[in-house]
Amino acid sequence: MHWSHVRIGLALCAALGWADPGGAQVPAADALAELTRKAELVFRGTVIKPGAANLDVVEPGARTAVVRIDETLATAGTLDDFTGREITVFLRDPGSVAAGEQSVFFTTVRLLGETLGVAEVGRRSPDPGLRAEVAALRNQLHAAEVKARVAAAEVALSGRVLRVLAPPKAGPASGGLLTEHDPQWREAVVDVGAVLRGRLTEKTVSVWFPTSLDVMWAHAPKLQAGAAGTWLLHRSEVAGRGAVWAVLEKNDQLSADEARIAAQGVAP
Amino acid sequence: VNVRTAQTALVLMVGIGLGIGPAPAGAQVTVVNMIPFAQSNETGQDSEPNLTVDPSDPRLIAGSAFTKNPTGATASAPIYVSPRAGTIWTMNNIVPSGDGGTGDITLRFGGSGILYAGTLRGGAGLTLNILRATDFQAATQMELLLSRESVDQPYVQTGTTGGLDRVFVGNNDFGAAGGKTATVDRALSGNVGRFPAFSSLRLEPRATCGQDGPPIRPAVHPDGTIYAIYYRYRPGCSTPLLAADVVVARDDDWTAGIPAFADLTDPGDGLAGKIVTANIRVPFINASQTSFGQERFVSSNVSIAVDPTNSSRVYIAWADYPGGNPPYTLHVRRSDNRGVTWSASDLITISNATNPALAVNSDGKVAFLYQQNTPQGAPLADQRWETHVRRSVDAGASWDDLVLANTSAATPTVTFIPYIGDYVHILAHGEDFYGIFSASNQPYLENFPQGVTYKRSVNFTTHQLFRVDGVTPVAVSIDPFFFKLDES
Repeated sequence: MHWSHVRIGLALCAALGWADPGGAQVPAADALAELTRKAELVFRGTVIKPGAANLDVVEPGARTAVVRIDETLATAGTLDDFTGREITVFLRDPGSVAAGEQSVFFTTVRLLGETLGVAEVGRRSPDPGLRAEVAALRNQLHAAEVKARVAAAEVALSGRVLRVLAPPKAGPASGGLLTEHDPQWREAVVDVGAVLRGRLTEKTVSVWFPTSLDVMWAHAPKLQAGAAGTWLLHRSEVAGRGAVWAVLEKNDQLSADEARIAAQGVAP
Repeated sequence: VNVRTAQTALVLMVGIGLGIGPAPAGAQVTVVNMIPFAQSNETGQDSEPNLTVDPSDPRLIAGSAFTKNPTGATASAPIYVSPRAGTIWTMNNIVPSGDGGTGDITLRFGGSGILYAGTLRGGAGLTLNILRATDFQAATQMELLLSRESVDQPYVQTGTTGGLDRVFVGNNDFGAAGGKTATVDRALSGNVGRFPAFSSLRLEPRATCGQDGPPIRPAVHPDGTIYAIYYRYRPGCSTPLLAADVVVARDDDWTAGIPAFADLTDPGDGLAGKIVTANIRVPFINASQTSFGQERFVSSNVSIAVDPTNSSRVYIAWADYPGGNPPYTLHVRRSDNRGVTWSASDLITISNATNPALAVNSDGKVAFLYQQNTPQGAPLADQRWETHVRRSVDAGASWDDLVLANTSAATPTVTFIPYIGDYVHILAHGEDFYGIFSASNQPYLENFPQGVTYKRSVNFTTHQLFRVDGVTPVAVSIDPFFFKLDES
């Protein structure tokens, strides 16, 4: 037995707080939304081999099982499609599955190696309606997440970029510092269409954005003259200009779908 | 073609005979693309890698790069973990983050087996985090030991004595007084207590142009000798060509005394830190360069390594524009008397190259890792990034040459900078060298003259990458590559 196998199995269980598998059960009626909220990967699967694992770094045991993904109900991020493949599931309750058993597993992704290693956060019996229920819940969660992001912004607006001003004088622009992570701020003048959040009385507003392609800023919105959009603005300090309205990260520019959700209403 | 067979193909080819001078005894070379099979669909720019090997068990290895959490979760970023000497890699999302990734990140095992990391926290700008993981393979988030704003390029090194992990995090601390920003944050017992005490040790005693350069790199000898190298930006400097000195500082007792890093002075001004070379010109052009393989110039390329058999012998590398003119050029020099005097000329000079990294093994053999853009002056479409390891058994008098990779500098197109990274890493464990670099993952075996193993889905015959289904093509991207030179 490789000692590192033992380490990863035990440590994972400890980290997930599974020392008391017999703890109180969440009422089923309330559980689905919570399970969907917690889960990154939801799938209908068939237990191939209880007590087994197909990741080299994982020591097989009562808390692990090899499960084939028969149908993916929901996934997250950029995870690949593992439908039809066997993965390792860290079970919430040791020894709680039998070979051939089919369930819908709600999981978080813990390890990406030869295959996936996922930690079960809950399980349901297969139900033809479950896919639609999960999809509906995911849509609700997405809408809530978008609204929360909008609510967290000081100002949210839709509009059109009238112009982008010339850059400040050459040289360090991050508080006089010379760093490869300099955001290289530029100022855009935005014609305000609608204010979704916060108070703006002006017809136009200056929005600062980092033009740098440095890893720290590359994915921040790059405003371009003529472009329409919906942006979340934050107060930010720009050297030589003091506090300005700025977009800082990818999520500060809403997609069309997100803008539609935001337009449905967030407390101003 | 059986994709799975091609995926694990290991082609051992005779190293290209580019060496000059006597080559050290041949080493078995292992090169592994670290992207795991489960991440076969990834197309991120996994640049600026770092690597560490557990000194108590070299099968345990951890790596890092600019890799995002593939689940889309923003609270944690991944590291690469291997319990099998780098032959197998798994991604473990344990680095605290605000955007699912990190800014600059380096990591190092202590002698206790604890993994330490220095990061610029993802989504938090220039916020330094010093982190600790008791078990780097566990799914537990790393513990936050220290957080401070306005810091750049944390670079971790460790040593262990009396059961205590000494942790040294070189960094450019913009909060330091007087523009003397070259700093090492140090803990004398990093493995003791929930919050081990860190002290910010200031290296720079001289006037600057408002700051020092980004890279501050420590090197640790088991006898307690600690070296550090940095670029001092000279007063009056301005972009895009900075006037700088290359400075080496030294402490002879684990930096436990006050002041720290004061054991090596320059005879010119009597101040701490030997000026090895003065008033050089270092480009600072923070944009992707089509004339340099889509990489940038941000004055981030220094390295230092101390001979584990003799703490008086130390090697350094730096980059500059010689005489203020391109090409970007790497220099390696040596001191045999604890940094007091240095070789008068370069032991080796590499033109049009970046990412110098040095290591010395238990036989005193020195290894020099770098990435060279070739051919110089060619259109971008024709440019390559050659990743070399040069080794010397005679203290730098002669060097052999192993080309680990010769990959396109044009494909993929840059998505952010740095393209391949502002640094790479090489280290020694006993006689063996371990290292990491980032390069294009275009699946051509001829791109890897020492052979290569891909864990992600690939077909080397059709030169295609695939998703886990083995059918759907995946675009070429920048991946981290692990290597080991087995010298025993």
